[in-house]
Amino acid sequence: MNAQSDPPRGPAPPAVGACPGRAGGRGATADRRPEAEWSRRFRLASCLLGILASSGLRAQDRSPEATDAHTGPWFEAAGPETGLVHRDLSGPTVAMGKFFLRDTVGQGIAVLDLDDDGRMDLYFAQGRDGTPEGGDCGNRLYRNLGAGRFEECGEARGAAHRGYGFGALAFDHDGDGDTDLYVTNLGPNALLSNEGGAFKDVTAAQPGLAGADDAWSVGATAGDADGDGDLDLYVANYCAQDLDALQKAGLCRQMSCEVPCGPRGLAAQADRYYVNDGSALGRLVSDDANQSGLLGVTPAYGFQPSFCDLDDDGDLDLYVTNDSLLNFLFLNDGHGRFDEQALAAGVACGRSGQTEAGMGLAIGHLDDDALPELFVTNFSTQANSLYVNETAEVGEPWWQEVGQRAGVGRPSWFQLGWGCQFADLDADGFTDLVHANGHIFPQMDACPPERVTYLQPNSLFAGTGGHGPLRDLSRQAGPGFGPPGPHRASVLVDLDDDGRQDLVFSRLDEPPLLLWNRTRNGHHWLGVLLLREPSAGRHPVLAVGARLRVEAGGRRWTRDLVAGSSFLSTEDPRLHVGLGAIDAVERLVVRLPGGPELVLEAPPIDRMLHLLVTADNALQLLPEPGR
Amino acid sequence: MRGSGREAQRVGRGARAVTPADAGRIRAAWLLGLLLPLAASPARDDRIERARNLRRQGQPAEAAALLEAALPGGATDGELVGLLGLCLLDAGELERARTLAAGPALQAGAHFRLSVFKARLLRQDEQLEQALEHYRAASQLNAEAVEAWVGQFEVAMALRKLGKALRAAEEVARRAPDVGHPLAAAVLRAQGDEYRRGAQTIELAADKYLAALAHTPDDQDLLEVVLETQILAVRLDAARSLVEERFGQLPAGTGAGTEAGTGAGPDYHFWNGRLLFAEQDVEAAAAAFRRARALQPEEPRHALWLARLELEAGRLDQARALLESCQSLGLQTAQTELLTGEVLDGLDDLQGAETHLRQAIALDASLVKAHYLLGRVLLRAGRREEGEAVLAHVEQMSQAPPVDIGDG
Repeated sequence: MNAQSDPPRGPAPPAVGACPGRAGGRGATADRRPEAEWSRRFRLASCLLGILASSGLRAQDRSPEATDAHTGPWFEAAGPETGLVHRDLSGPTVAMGKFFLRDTVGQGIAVLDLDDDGRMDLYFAQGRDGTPEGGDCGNRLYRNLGAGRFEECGEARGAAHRGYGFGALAFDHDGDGDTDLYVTNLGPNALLSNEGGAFKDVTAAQPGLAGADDAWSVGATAGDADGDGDLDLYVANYCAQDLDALQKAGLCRQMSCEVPCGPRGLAAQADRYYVNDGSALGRLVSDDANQSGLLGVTPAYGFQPSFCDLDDDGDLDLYVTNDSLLNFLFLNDGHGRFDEQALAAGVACGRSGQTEAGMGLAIGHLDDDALPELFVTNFSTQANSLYVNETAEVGEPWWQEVGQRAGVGRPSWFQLGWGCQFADLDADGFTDLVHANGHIFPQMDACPPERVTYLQPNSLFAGTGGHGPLRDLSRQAGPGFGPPGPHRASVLVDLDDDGRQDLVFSRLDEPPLLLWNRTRNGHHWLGVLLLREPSAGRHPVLAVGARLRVEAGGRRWTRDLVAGSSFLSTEDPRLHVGLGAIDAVERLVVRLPGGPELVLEAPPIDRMLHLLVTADNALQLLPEPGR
Repeated sequence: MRGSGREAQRVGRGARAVTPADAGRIRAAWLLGLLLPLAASPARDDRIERARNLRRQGQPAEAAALLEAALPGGATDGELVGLLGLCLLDAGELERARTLAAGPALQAGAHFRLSVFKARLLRQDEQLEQALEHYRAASQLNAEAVEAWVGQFEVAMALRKLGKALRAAEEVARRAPDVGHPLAAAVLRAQGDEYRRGAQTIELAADKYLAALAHTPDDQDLLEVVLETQILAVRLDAARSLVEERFGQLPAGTGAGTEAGTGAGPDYHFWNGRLLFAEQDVEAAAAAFRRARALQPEEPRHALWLARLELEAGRLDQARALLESCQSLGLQTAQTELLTGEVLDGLDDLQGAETHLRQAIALDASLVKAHYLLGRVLLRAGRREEGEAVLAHVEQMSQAPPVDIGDG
């Protein structure tokens, strides 16, 4: 394998620091001159003809499967016309040779409304390229312009942080109503505070928040763990990457292949937890004394943590996927003290009792109860794990791993999974499951075992109600889902606000993949942007940690507002519920951590609702903001 | 000299004059002195050869007696002393062998049999590292001596220096194939077993087992281990080729126990089922196992695999019935106990589940799944402390480092 110092043999990466800015000429107004009448009429006729022709074309673009006859979600891949064109940088390219584990893991995506215009924007973490100087490029921030177009504005808005980036967490650290960004790196992490749409690196003002200089931080999550009204922060750390030592040691043997070493054999790094002091500056103070109990476990190869109320007792618990070691489940006692119980609860490992790779994490609800299920993506020749929550008593968490029985284990056997989501992608009222796939080692194509390839197609399983079995529709979900690729992170986000959740994937060494959800089946849906008033008169903030229940037609759907999940990513904060043929909702029930249940009767459907939990615990339906 | 006419000569100062008769006697003595040693060697070689034959015929005591008669004159004869020592050890005369070794014999000079004798004596006294050194010295003195290589193999195996054991076995195989190939296969199998304990090294185990099979191609048990490991290592094409080659379609009408028309036997269908399962085609795998079971109902492993598929599909009663049929066919392994425990857990028979899971652990303590399920069963039964203790053990098992057998 080539050492990092070898000259690149593949296509030259972008020049260092050459982060693309706004496209030239956009918005420029052409000179106008008086137009001849014949010209005007010709132009009008042409437009009319064009409209008629394109209508016909649109009908023809879609294959018969995408019409009403098709059941299940349908996705189409967007092209470079969206503007999402940067190439993911993750060390040397495959052609140059990937020697270190850090160059194979990939980068995360954050979904946020950076300027409060109601449209969701996208933030992509970036690594470094493979030049000898280790030149890097800034993280990419794309503003959603609407109509399927995005404008890269990272530099202009101060968000083009430069490091060897991995995770992207969007959360409001200072409770000012703007969504901030915490970016994790191999090296010091950074907190970029959003100040009215412009970002400022405030890490230096937060002692300890950057973490250790040699830490490899990956996934992160935010939540009000101690119930004091602000968002605390948990950061997963992976493994040591002493590049000199790794260079000397050479590649490692795994599956009869010579591959980058780790994580086994490398020192695991302890995760970090920061408690928000609730001040206007939103200081995140490291819990060095481990008052939370979160840091007393043996360090593991942490990947993706997520705060969520996993036992439905009103406080936020924490689940952490760990690579090659047992996963963690920390149950909150209601006061911000946690106790690790993953093994007893049945979510530390697969049904075999063996440790698994534990990369991505999805938290969602397959059935009608309020107890969340967990889905964890694993390595090739390890089935992904689907844990169904059967907790009967608070304090005695209980999950059953049912991946094989639910039909999602076997199809994933030869795949290596990363980002993942529970979602109702076709709004039929049943929860689906989707996950990104791609092998970590480019060497796989030249090595046994067979049937395990480097580039892999993503997976989509359609829910059928309850715990399955889910139907594998990966090859029937439209042209967007078929092609194999080096997929890593994935996020769900309704980018065109049509009520159908789209998918965005990061791809190692390649531009992102945007899949438009073009499912057209007349199913009803409901979207909720859940806000809360931290105190009377203060600007509303996202109600991270809140639980939403929708009751309609004898059924119930539960959704949780989670900050940090999938793989190194943050999802669309707007909660989405598919209603199928049900055309009226009886009640919406909202519960903040530690708060009472608040009810909204008979809300309108087929639109995005903005709900506010006031400081005195009232639930208000806000008027839809203008665009 | 009478009539020679030669006069007597003086032969030294003060010596009386040497007569012709004296000269004749002197010449005779000189010739005798020259020829006597030569006359003695064939006797020594003959003695050694006879002793070797007696030893080969399983008469080490007689061989030892024959050689002892040549002591003490042969005390510096390394070959003789070495052979005598070996015969004494073969005859179980350990103390006499020790006495021999304690005497001047140990300085008897280098001979491979002497080195082998020393090695064996050291083995008796559990000084294996030194024994290994002497066996190696013996091989250096006589590379063709199979006994020395076999000794190296045995001691290296005892020391778990599998790399050295393999090299010794291969030397034996070169010289005595019938003896050496099984030894080499045994080492490779031991190496494979070590690798198989680690999830990260299953491919290396597959390589080792395959290499072992090359030495003993007719070892059916090893063949199945190879197939099993190839499947675990996801080398499915290679495994399929081996299945076709070894169990493939037999000529039609080969006889009872084959499928009419195709001639495929139950082993073929069983391994075909295993491969289909590995390829994630569960329905086809079940069909293959059913075919195998139909042809060979008395073989419990077909039912065992069908039970596993039924369990996975959630058809617990069917799984239990199949496992009971395995038991009635006399199969009680860690795997059957584990599956039974899992089925009973699913049927909420916690007591039964606990019994079978504990049985599984008793039969194979390395089965982490059995420990894990047992811990969960105990928790479900409200026995929290016991359950947590079992799960703590599972946690310890999860921390085990990857296997690295090295090449000791």
